[in-house]
Amino acid sequence: MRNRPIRTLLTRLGFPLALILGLSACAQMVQPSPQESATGSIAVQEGRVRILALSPAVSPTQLAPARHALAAARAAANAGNYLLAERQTLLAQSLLDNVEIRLKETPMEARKAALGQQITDLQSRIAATRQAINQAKAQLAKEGQ
Amino acid sequence: MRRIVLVTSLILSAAPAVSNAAPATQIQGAEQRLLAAQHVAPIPPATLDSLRNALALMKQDQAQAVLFQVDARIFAARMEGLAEIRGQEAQQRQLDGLQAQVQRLGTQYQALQAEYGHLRQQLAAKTMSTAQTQHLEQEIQQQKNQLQQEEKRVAALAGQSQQSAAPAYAKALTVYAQVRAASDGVHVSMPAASLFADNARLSSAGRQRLQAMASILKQASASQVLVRVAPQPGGISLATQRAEAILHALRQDGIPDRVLALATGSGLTPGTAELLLVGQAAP
Repeated sequence: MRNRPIRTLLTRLGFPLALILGLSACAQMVQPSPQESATGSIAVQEGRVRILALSPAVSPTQLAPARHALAAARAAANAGNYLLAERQTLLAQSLLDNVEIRLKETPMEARKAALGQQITDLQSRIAATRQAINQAKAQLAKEGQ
Repeated sequence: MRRIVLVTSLILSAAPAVSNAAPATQIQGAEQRLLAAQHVAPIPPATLDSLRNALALMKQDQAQAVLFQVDARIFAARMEGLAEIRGQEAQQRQLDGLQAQVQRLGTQYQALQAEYGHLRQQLAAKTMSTAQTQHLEQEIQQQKNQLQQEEKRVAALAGQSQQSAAPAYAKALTVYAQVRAASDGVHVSMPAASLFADNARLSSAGRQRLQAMASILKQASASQVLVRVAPQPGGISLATQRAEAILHALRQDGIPDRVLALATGSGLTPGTAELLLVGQAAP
């Protein structure tokens, strides 16, 4: 009879305990290892490099620093230095961000050139119209005499 | 030997300080660069956070040279990105300026086009008006020429008539009667009432008037003098009687009988008597 409350208590604690243990096991399963995390981050940036390399507006020279950083990151990850791998990946990410920013400049340059051409054209037209106006005025003055 | 050991130990003790001094200087330089960038213009919040994170990493890893160098490069890359963004912003402002210039020039061009169109309309109207004026001037000149020709012809005719007419005779007749030249002869008309006292008898004033006219007519070279009296209310016979009375008086006053003749008075203004001198040019 004395063991009954203890058994009841154990029964009551058993279910939450089993639940906690199960959830922690699941969490352990989902959480990636540092190696997986580093490899994944490197793969993401390598994917960006591949995509940017497809653009004709991006030269291999522009992508070289990012490629070097990613190579260093992969080497560090292989050596088990995940902190350095993370920093090198971060560097590659920053360098690729800059390449993307520069990509946006290309349409701006084209637009600038188009606007410059438009301005030249309008200025030329204005000059021609002014000349025509002066001629018309002179003719009107001549007719008026 | 002691001195060498002392110097070596001093250098070795100072080595970490020197190696730490380089990251500290770099960190200080990075902080100054960030402050300067903020001073130039506000930095977008996301970019500022990333720069501060890179700076924090540099501070965190300053003891580990390899990591610190990578952090420093990350900071440098992000600063470069900021410079790119600012360059793009400047370019965007430049583009906006160019766009505004294009718009301004477009408006100016449209205004000039409108002015040119207006001037062309004015010119067209003026040209048309000039052409019309020239046409009118030509017409006026033609009319003037025609008028001059007509005037010359009239003057020539007037000269001919002056040569053939008898002005003195015509003028003399106008004292007693109204004289009008026509293609059929010279019409000398007067009110019948001024000649007759009653129905068919000449009044004394009428007799005197016919006498004076007869003396003038004798000078004229009329081939025939037709006596006409407008039909009277009393009937055709009264007009005929009056015409006979006039003819008789003129014969008495010396007008040759062969020249005198009676003619119908139809067509004359009622109440008038007329002598039509045939074979006489207009005075």
